[in-house]
Amino acid sequence: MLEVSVLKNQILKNSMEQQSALRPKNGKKARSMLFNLSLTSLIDAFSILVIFLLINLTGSNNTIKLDKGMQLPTALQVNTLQMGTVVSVNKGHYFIDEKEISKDQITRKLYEIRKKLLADNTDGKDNIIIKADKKTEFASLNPIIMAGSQAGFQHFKFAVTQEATKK
Amino acid sequence: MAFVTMGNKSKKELNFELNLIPFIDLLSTLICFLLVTVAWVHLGSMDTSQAFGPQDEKQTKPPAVWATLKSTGQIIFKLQNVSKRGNIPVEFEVQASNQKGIQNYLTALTKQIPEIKTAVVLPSQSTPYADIIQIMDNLKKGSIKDIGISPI
Repeated sequence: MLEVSVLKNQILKNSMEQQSALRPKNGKKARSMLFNLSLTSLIDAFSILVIFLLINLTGSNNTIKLDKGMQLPTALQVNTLQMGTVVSVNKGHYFIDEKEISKDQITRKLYEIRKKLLADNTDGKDNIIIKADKKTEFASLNPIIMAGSQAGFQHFKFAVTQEATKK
Repeated sequence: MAFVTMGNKSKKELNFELNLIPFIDLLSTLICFLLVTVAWVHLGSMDTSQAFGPQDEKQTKPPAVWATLKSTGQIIFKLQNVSKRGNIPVEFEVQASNQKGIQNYLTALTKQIPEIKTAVVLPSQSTPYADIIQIMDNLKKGSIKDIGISPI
């Protein structure tokens, strides 16, 4: 492809060098404008980047949506996030699967969800994922734990951000 | 360059240059897609179970450590159902901010009483969520995997 390029016949001539009194290079030596860009190393770098991103992409099989301004606490010894019913508390408001619900209705709603999950035999039927800001007081989390226990959920999973391993 | 001699008349080039431009296009598109979709913040979960609930009377209670988080910022570790405790005190009080002290205590605890695999966290009403997670993280670092949380 490069062999037939129009650039091959183009000559780079420096007018200063042509006019030089000491070593005039007028017509004697000229550099071709054609240069062979090595694309192999570029493709190597791209491939490494793609592999790195693909590895980063494959993580937990479940993701949760973080509310604006919500900061999860960090921890080192964390487990992979699994399927479950997400219950969140944000500034005193309670949400079950992103739908707001009053504090008094949590138990009833969780009981209905649990009943449905058991009927469908869905994965994570025993799990509740609790999502809250790191500054939230335990008094706000307590109703979720109580309601979850009353509804029959057995595992409580607190959503956290995985801390980078310290060396 | 290699050539094949076709008599004396013509030479046919065997080498060919692979067109890399489509590869670069493809990889660039893939990188852009992955950069947009990749999750940079890794979320995980800290697993617990409710500490107190209906329990069989005959069921033996395992040796455990209870961590009470006071509203004043202190943590009180208390050993439960432990027969041989070595030189580990039954009760140990430490400031929640003293991470090194907590870790040293838990390391000594699990080293001297390896049968302790259960812990119960008892937070107060005003305990921040981050402090609860931090104590759970410390307990897990000390090889105590079965952690329960006590509601108020």
